[in-house]
Amino acid sequence: MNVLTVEKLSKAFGGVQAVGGVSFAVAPGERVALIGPNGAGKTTLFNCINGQLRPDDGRIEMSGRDVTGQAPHRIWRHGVGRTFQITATFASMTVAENIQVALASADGAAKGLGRRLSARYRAEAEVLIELVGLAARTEDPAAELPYGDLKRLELAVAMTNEPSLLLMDEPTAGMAADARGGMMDLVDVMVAERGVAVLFTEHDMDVVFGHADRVIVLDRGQIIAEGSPDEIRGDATVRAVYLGTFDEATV
Amino acid sequence: MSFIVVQAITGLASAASLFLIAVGLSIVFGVTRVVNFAHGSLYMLGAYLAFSFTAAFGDTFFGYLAAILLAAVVVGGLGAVMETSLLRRIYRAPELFQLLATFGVVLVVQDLTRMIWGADDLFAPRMPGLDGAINIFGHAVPEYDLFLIATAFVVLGGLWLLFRHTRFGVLVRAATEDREMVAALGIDQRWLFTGAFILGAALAGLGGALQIPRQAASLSMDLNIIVDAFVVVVVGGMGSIMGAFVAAVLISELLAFGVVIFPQITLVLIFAVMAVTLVLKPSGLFGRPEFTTQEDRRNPDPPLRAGDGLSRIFWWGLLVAGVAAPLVIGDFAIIVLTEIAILALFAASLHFLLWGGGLITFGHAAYFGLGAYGSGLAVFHLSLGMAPALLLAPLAGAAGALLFGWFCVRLSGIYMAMLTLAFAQIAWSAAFQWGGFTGGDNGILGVWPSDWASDPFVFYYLAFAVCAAVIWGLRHTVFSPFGYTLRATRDSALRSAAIGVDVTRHRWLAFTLAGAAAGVAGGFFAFAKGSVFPEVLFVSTSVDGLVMVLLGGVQSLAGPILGAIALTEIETELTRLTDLWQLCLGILIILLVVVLPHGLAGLSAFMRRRQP
Ligand SMILES: Nc1ncnc2c1ncn2[C@@H]1O[C@H](COP(=O)(O)OP(=O)(O)O)[C@@H](O)[C@H]1O
Ligand SMILES: [Mg+2]
Repeated sequence: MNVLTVEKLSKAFGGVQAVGGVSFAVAPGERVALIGPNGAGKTTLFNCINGQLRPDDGRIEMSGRDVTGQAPHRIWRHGVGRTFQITATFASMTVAENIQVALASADGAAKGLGRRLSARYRAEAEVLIELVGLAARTEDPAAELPYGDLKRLELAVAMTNEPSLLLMDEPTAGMAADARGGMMDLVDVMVAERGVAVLFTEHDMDVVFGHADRVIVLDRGQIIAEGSPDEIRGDATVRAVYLGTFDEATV
Repeated sequence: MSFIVVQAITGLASAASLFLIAVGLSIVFGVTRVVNFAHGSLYMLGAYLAFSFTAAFGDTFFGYLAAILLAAVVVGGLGAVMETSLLRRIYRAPELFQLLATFGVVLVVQDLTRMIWGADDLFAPRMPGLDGAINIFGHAVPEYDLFLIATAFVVLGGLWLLFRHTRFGVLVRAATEDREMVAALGIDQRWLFTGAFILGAALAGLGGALQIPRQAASLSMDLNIIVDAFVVVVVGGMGSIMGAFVAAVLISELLAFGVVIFPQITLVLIFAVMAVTLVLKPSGLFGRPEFTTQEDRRNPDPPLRAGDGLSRIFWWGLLVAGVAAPLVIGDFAIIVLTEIAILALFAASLHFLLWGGGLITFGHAAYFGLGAYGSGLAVFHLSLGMAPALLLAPLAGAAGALLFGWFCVRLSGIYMAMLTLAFAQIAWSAAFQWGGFTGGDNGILGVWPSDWASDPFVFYYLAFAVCAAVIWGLRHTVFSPFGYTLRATRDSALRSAAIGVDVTRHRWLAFTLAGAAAGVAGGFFAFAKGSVFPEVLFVSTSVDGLVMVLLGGVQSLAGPILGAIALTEIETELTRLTDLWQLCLGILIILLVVVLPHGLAGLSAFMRRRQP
């Protein structure tokens, strides 16, 4: 069964049809890139899927369950981990605490008044910290991490509920070109070791062609092409939309 | 039918003044993003000045008119002084600090007004030429009411012209809608801010001056009107002139008719209007959602460190001091000490919300007061003993927080602060209005401890033990998963929702928990004083709590306790020395905010900072 199925999803802002009847699906363990020029509707589509926006029309299913219009915190319960274009972490907490809070929530213990949090979920947190390569930073406040490490921390937090789907809006935005590959390699590790599927938006075509199994191209709220990286690379319509920026990016 | 028309006119006349004050508040907020608590003080000064001016040269129609206008102009000038000397220094401060600093001005103006004009209400003569009544459908309607309504429309039209057709007005509108743009245009923002503030102040002064033929000038005008104005801007939408107008009319008409139809529940009507508006349109009828503040990503508040050597010594030292102190102090001091223990719990429960959850509340007195009334009423009406009455206190506090909190946690920043205050003031007025049940002004007397605890030392140990236990519980909660999750919603609501936290519900629970803790403090307060008066619910009680938290240092769990000790001591000493206690407290607050912002680094760090 698909981890995510989007059917005829639409969302308009005033007169602007940001997303106009989009349908696609993501299979377990699949890495799908969502690309398209600025204003194509990628972020809007993402926000509808993760519950931040309520779609005007259409249907979203996660592992067979209808989740259309549910709030973000409910979407998470369906096994969705998220990272943001601009990282969102808990600045006044250490790396470990960031993950422990998320683990407590995953465990349904966020309202617990008992034992102090710092003594709970410690071992599980350390496993995740190790996995994203932040072991040396375990006790550092998130506020003091460099941006690349914050992105790693966010990925670890997104993995706390053992998700079946990761939603990543521009996972490498704001990172130096040479660090992007490392970040995406880490995502590949999550896919390989934990069987999670990934839906991500991305501007860097090296990243897209190197780390996606399938590419969906969005333009003015519509899907204009869909296929393997090789097929998309050769697609004339896509080339026309991107006006040669492709060639620069892939050189 | 005729009755309806006449009642509607009365409502409109009240709406006129409310509109003048609310629109000024709104204009100032739109441009400077500061909610000026002292706006009501400017209104009150307008009334007092008009009283003096009319006494001097108000014996003709035009003399009286000149007196009213001169009062507005003078208040505008005072506004200029206030903007350039104080406001300018706090434009970049967190919202809570701005509210507190301007509340400091309220206290200072209160005492100065009392010094100049005395404590008694001042009745001005009616306006010559407009002192009669005209007959509408057989009912007498005061001519002055019609004059007031006409004035409000003149001001509305004047503001419309100003904002459409003058450079200043266009800039004010631009700044309200998009401040970056104005900054980018390279306009000197200083004169724009000062100008907007003078305009707002003059409108407040005009509103106050126009009231004197209808209502005596009194020292309670300032806070009464500012709370009404908060309700108007919350309902109408911050920064919107039309919103201020429509909401002022809506609320005044509702009160005008409500008083006739359901005199007992006019407060409930206001509550209902606010509640319905906020549920349907959280930014107010004409407000725009962009005003909600953004998350601060540069949050230098350090991670929690539990139980290191120093803090352990502090907490144990405090415990030992609390237990041992009665052995060495006298009878008066034990009463002060009991009060400190109670207020420390009150401050700690406020601190839990402010620091633990980033929830800015300006009406924490509501839950303290509900606790006090819960106990007091149980003794008075149900003849309960002390122990069961004290058990009711946290329930009363929690119930109030559960109800009010449901609305408050849906808002953030300044809106939340105003709404919490408005709810607390509604509770305060309810204590007055339902005199049959609450004793009204006369309060509830005879709330004495049971015999076994009637000795002040025994009562102290009881209060100390319970308050210390609840403070310990709050402290423990901060470190528990619940507390960390609350801290998480403070650091990033976006991330919290993305890890499955229902942010609104979590904040609501925290609000209720803090309400229960404040209720415990309130219950003990009632028995410590032997009585309950509406003042426990008043805004000054909320502000006392905030001052304690700030004095002690917000970034530390020990802060509220140190603050309670410090403020109670300062107050005890100062009231002995001077009767200008409010003036001193006001200056203390302003100094805390303006001169010692670094001493308060913890708070400035986590409260959202605003752009210039
Ligand atoms: N909150 C909003 N209000 C109005 N229009 C919006 C809003 N969000 C996005 N849009 C419009 O919807 C379209 C798609 O935007 P977006 O989803 O951000 O595209 P992308 O992420 O692909 O760059 C754009 O035309 C944008 O201007
Ligand atoms: Mg985008």
